[in-house]
Amino acid sequence: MNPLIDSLPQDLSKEEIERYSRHLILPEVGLEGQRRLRNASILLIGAGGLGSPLAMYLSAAGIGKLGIVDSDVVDASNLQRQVIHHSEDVGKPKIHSARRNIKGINPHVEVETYDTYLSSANALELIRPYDLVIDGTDNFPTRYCVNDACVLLGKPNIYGSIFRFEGQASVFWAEHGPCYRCLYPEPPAPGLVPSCAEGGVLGILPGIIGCIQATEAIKLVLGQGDALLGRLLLFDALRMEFRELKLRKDPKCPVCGENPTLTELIDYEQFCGIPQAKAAEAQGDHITAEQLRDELAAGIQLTLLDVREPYEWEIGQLPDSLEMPLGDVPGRFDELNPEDAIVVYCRSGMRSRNAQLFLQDQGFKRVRNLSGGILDWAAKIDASIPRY
Amino acid sequence: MSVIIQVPAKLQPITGQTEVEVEGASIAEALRTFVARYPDLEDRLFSGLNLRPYVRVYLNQEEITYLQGESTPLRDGDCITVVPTVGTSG
Ligand SMILES: [Zn+2]
Repeated sequence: MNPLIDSLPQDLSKEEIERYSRHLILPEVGLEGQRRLRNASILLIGAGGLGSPLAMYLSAAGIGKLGIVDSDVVDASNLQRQVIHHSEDVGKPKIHSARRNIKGINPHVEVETYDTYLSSANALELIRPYDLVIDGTDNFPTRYCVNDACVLLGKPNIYGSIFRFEGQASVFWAEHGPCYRCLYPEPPAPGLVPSCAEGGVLGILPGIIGCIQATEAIKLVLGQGDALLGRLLLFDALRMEFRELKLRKDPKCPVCGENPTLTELIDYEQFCGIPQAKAAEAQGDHITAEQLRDELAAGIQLTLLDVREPYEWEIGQLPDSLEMPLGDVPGRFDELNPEDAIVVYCRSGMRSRNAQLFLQDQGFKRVRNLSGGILDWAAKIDASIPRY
Repeated sequence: MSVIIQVPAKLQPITGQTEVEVEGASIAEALRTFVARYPDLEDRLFSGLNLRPYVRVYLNQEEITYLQGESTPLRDGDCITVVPTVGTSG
């Protein structure tokens, strides 16, 4: 593969030559390659688990310009894996700590931060000025949006994702191979796929996957080696095993196929079914933390059904809850009385919504879902329950 | 044929193990044996008789769509990998 980036003729300064000397003596990099890196611009979508090692290693490697899109603030629960943010950064915007630490690692790097949420309204504009994009997002709408925008703009998109002890990585680049939609044409229904917040993640895992993404970015810039194109790398930390699956371009892919039907960005929240899930909640059948507190205080008979996993119960729970992980509900729902008033809850309200729909299908008439889950309860009613 | 199904992290809480050995002459038979053993998997992997569109199934390194789909025949020692969408990075 040809180098993505031209090598500009300007020489490196004495300070740069010293800094990058271990690159310069690699024949695959050399002065020419180091100038390519300096001339490269990379957009990081997200400054979280994957974004942290990406930003740190790419800046150390001498990438000329790094853009970072993130509108989150640092939360205490991020510190276990998002190593670009430090304890004193909790409560502050992630882009601030990211910028500070990149500049500390390498002041030569130009850093552009975007305190926004990537969406179809801004994706093309944000991505267009950059040579390549690295996807470190934590939700499906953004993933599809990044993919489609990269296909439409012809940019390579370096993909990574993590869950519990497993990670995936690949390079999507429609001009040379498949895109994310060739692999996953449709998103799963909201709530069916747990997020890292619900399923947990080994703190080191994004370090490993993020470093793989950074390596692929540098290889593309230099035009060295075999890109992770058309291959899905699977990493399993428990087995300590890497495996590889073949990915192919889908000729029927709606965005990169032979007759694309998707020629501009769409409403990705809609595409991923999020408004429907929100609307279903708005239609009733739910209970807020305040209402639940009031009903419990009034002595109203309620069955509190906790559909989280056992390790979550230990973190904190509502009083007198019946424990039934979501996966067990289809096999155990006969432990519940269909006539009882039931309030089902989980961490944030997604899994419990699924449990509620299932129970309603089984003829339960009085099942309500706790809006915002135990997180909302912890925020509004009982501060002794840790947020996680 | 005796084959190994590699279970992704998302489904391991249901199987309790990272790989499961099943018998089957084809991908369809092996997957049906698999969900029969762990009935809670049925809804995660199938919608009625069809695999859910966001669940990808590989035989060794190749996706079954590029072989003979669910009727792809199996050989002893084959490895089936189920890859559900992982969308998060946290
Ligand atoms: Zn595609």
